Amino acid sequence: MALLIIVAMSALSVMAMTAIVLLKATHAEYFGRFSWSLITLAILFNMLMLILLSAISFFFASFTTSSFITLVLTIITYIIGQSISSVKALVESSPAEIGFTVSPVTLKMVQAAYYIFPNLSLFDIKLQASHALTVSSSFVLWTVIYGIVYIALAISLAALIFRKKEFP
Amino acid sequence: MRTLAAVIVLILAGILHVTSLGKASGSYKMLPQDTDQSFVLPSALIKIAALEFRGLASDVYFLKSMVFIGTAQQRKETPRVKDWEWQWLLKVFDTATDLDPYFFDPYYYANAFLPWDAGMVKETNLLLAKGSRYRDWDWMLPFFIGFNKFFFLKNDGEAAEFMMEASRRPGGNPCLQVLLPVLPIKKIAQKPRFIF
Repeated sequence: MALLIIVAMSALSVMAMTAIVLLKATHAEYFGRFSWSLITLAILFNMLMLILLSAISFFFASFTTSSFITLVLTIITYIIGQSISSVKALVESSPAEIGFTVSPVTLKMVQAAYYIFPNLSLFDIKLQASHALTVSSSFVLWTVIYGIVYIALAISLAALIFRKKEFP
Repeated sequence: MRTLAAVIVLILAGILHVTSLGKASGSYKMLPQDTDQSFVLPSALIKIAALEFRGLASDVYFLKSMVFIGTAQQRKETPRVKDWEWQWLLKVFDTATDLDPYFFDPYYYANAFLPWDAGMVKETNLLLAKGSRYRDWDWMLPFFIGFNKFFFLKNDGEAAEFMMEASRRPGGNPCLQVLLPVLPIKKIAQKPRFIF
């Protein structure tokens, strides 16, 4: 699965980069702040995020009875993972500003979900790449470690569940 | 015979389908269109809903503002834009820049329209200050703030500070440094120097 993601993402990235090269050649004035290394890093982070998501789908597949449920759970995890840090920031900071109140139970649930679900927004550095902003090496290192650890956890749990499963 | 009749009916139905679709869509284009000045959702909520596509959401909001400005230019009535519509436009620019604070174009167009046509100088300067904070390499945003303070708010002292900031940033026009000594003393210069 990971190999498929890497191959597909590489093919798409080559196409995207070709488009950037062509645009850069014709409209160089729009590329005042531009960094190939950041664009490559953004692509690699996206790749890691997809591998993490596929590891989670393996985990869901280990205990669900149909592939449809696995698909639905993976999509839900993707949505939660992409938005959980924003939701946590919102409920912890100033929900009253946008007109709603948060109960302490909801706050605790969101905080728990923050640690249970993968924080996929960490792998989204498209904005930084598009404006050539600085991305610290410690952020890159810790995000890669986080991704690898989460993948290892999901795959290990899936393997444990598969081992206990009785196949007909 | 029956087959022939069925084929004829099918052909007629096909022709009618294509004709009615063409006529209906043509007539739909003639209907008065909604200009989509709907309620602007708080940016904190859009950040959640946009998932990993905040940049795209910011682009969508910016395009909304551009469509509105273009539509307003076509209006015949005066004033072309009502007060609540300027407020809406400010919110759209604010939301677009909350979603992607490094996106230059909303700041540029906010400065091009809001202080001049809507008289929203202080609000625009707040928006530009946000942009200046994030785009700390860009000389144009502090220059805009400085110009607004000088031209609209007649606050030469603060205008000079922002012009100075603009001149310090990469690419800042050297002419700004020439303007610096002039601005703070302008008010003094306006006073009569000689009493006859």
